[in-house]
Amino acid sequence: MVCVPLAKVAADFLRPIEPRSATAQRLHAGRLSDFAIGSVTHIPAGRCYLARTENGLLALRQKCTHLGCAAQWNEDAQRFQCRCHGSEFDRLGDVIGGPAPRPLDVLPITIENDEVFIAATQPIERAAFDPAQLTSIDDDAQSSSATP
Amino acid sequence: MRSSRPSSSAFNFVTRSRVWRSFFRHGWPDNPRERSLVMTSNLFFHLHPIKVNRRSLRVTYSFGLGVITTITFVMLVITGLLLMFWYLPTPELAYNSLLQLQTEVPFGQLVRNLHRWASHLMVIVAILHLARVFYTGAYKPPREFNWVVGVLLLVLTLGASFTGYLLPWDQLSYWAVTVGSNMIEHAPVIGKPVQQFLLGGSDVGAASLLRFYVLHIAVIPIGITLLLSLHVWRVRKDGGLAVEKQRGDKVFAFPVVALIELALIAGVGVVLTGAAVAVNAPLDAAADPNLTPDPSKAPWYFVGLQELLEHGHPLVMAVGVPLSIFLFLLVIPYLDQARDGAGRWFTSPRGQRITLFTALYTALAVPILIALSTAYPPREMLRGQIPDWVAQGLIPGGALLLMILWPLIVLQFFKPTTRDRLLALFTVFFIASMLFTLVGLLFRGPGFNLYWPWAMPDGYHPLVGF
Repeated sequence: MVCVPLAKVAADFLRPIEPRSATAQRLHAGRLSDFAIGSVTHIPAGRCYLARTENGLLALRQKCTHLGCAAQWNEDAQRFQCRCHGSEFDRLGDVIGGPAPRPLDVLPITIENDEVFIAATQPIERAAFDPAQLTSIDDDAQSSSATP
Repeated sequence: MRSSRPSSSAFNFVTRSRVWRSFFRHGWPDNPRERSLVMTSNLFFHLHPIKVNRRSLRVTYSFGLGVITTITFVMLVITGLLLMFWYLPTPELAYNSLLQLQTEVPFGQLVRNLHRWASHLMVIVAILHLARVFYTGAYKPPREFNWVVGVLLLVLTLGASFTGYLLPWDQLSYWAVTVGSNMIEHAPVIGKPVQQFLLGGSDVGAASLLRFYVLHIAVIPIGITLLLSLHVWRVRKDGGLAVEKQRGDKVFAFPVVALIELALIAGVGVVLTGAAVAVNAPLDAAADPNLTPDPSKAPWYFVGLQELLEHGHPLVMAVGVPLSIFLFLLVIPYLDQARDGAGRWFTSPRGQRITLFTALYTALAVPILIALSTAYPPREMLRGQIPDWVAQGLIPGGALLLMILWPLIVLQFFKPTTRDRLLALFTVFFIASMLFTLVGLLFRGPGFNLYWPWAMPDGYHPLVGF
């Protein structure tokens, strides 16, 4: 009778609050022209990679979906590789090998006046790549961010 | 106070003074009455009974493991308090504060080393103590509750070690805790909320460091102190260590017990100080969230789980296996309620044989399973042909389950008692845990591939970072 509300109060007190710093929430990745079509660029400050395809941009969280190690883009092999247990992901984040249970998470992208911003603190999990997850270049002031 | 030896007047002056006699109210205990009084009127000694069963004092019975665990805990509290004068718990300052402690503070490196080696020793000895209590049947009624308290103490001890592991904020700490906390995430329903509570977010960061620090220096030590008090009190309430009783067994606790404890304190002190002088606690490069070291291993007591994760899905290996071990431990004293056999190693010659054969079987089965799974990995060989949950869940989980149950199946032909079955089951779990841990610790190198420990590529040394 008393324990449940008390437990709830304790849980609310201890629940974490995500960092709200401006840089974390809206990370400036660079100008659109910095990212050539077909490129995959590491954004260390956001712990993510920015991939550009013909159809748009995709921001991929570098955290391997197996046990959280930092996957690295291998330019020669044209795939992400995680050193911890050998998981491999293609340029769109889909699993192509190893124990990872799902693709790399994506992060919402905003493009304003040709500047690219990534919401690095709001990862979105997905079961597989879907073209709707790409942020199209044509949308200048709006973001068409990934569908969860 | 009567003294039978010639004494200097200075000695007499002090020990016959009013001040002295107000502190020390009774003489040196050399008769039954005073030996009883010293236990009841002394703060430290009143934790002890006046008389103990002489069998419980035998080194080869208990090896003093419970006392040693307590001694290491006290050492950790003392060295931990000293470290708190210098350590700064933020990502920007933590690493450098330890560098400063190690290089500029007199005995700073020694205190840190003592703390590190004592923490490893405490986990090891706590596990050995658990094994001793199990194999001597000392969980049997009326000691069931104390067994449960003991298991909880083990969980808290592991929690203290794990939370402390992050504090240096070097590459070793950061990634070990990243891997460890991501194992929790795979638990259904509660996994993500628990992980987020521990980490203060979804990634290891400043909030994680603060939460781990609070847990490590306050919450867990308070929990351990309370449970430890309960645990020791219950030992007395339950009549001391479980031993096979005969008449005339009891002897005065003073001074034998005090001397044994003093000897253990000295022994542990010597061993730990020797280790602290000889080997430095590791401090890798400062944490870099963008660079995962290769290999990236969990702390040694979780590296067995990490090894299991090579062979199956995290839900089975990182959640199912630990949960099963934990639940199994908890129910042991409620499955085996027979009082006879308490206080004797392995219970009987038959019990000895069961333990030995099961241990040998497990020592063979585990390496064979690991080798088979590595040579013919179900996940890669059957990718796309059968669902993932079969290749990564059903097959490896089924193989593990079969390995664990096989001794029980064989035992069934020999009309086993519950104690016989428990001896077999516990031994499988115990030896298998040790072997998976050893493989993960010594035989996994870069890429988490298998290598001989002396032939690791890229200059990787398995025991660096222990």
